[in-house]
Amino acid sequence: MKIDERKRTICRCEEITYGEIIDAIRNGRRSVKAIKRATRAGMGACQGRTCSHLIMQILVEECDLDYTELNSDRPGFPLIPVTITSLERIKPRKD
Amino acid sequence: MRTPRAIVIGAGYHGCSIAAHLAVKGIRTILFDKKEIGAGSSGSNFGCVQLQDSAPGLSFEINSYSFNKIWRMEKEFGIDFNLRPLGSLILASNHMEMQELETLYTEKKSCGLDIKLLEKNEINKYEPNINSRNLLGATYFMQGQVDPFKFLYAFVDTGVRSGLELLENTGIKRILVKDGAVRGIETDNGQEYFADYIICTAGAWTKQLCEKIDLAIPIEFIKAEAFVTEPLDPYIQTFFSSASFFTDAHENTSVNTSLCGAPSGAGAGNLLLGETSREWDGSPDSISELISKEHCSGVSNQMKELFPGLAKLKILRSWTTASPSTPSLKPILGFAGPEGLIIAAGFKSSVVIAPAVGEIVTDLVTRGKTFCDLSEFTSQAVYLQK
Repeated sequence: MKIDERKRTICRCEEITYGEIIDAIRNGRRSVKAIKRATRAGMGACQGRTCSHLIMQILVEECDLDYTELNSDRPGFPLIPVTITSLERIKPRKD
Repeated sequence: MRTPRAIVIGAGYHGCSIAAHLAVKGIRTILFDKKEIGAGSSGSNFGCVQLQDSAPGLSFEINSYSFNKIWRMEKEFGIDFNLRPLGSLILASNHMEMQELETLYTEKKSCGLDIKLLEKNEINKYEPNINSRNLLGATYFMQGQVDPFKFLYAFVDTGVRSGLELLENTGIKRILVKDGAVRGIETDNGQEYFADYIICTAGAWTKQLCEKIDLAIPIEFIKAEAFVTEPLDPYIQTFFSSASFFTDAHENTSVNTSLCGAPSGAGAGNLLLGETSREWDGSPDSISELISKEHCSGVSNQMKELFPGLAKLKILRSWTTASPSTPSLKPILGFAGPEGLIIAAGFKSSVVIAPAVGEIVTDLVTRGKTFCDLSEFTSQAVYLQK
């Protein structure tokens, strides 16, 4: 059985395929962040921990870029998912 | 006659809309952004197509013209930006806020808007899961929501198909002026590009860019902050916001967590929560990427009150942005300063008005005038070289 490359899942959280990533790149998206905005790859529960590396690799291959030219998508607060209630424990500093 | 050339600075809602409209009209256009498409406040907002908070007069006229235009655009341009109807609830929790809402209701009703003033016991009809026990009332208006990124990319892709050139990661050092007219721009890496028209849609950065050519633009900005939660089944039906925004916003005294929330515009089920209002001094570049601590406890407390059922819902990510406005709350739109310079910045609600702004600026470039008198907006800009 032949595996359809385009259907290979790249972002497991948001179920984004290799084909969708390639389409975004061909539409002019040229960074992990831009691909995230265009496809939602990396917007899921793990916030791109796995797929951002795969996407960087695809960008390097497709666009003939060097890894050093890629702006990675920096992780934001919170680093792991936290409940709305737990935010209450973050107290403003009293100066 | 030679076709004019245009340069658009800033790839947010207005920059992308203007660049697309110009390119479709055959104007040779280059769109610059110091980062990427939607990297600033346009990519950080909820995509709400707002009409309820628009100020009466010219703002409301253009907004409602654009509101009608946006619903036709997907079909007319053959583009998809996930536009769907979404009700907007503004909630009052004390008498002062209720008074503000009554004023808003009367004002909008007289403009012809089908807005509703809800009593406490009617709120759950529109937002079934909200805890209305401590609310006094609300206003409700059926408006819309887009996927912000699809909206931005739809404009850019439409433009590119008509010859628009896009230069991302290219900051603008200065606008070049000679003999009282714009000549072009110089980028941060020293390269010069020439054009007959420069359209500055740089949001919070507009002020500092224009200062260098002695043009004073009264843009101020707040640090706006937001969270996105994990997806959930439809639980929140509206874009809800607290009426405390009217009384607290743009007060310099403290961080006022004026909660608002909405389902995400992408339709994936995530919930968006924001924002705080704190006026920011200094450069928009100095805004921290970190959410303020006050905002964390503020959002948590207000959500516990309004949606106790969501206490265990998980937050996935947060972001901050410089959200621009003007002291008069009127945008700056139209010709200002040296000949050939057009400003489009300081809009209260950008998604709704971006389609009209694209059309208006294209009119200004191709005909020198548009369908309305913009002097109410442009008079806010002061050119010191005159």
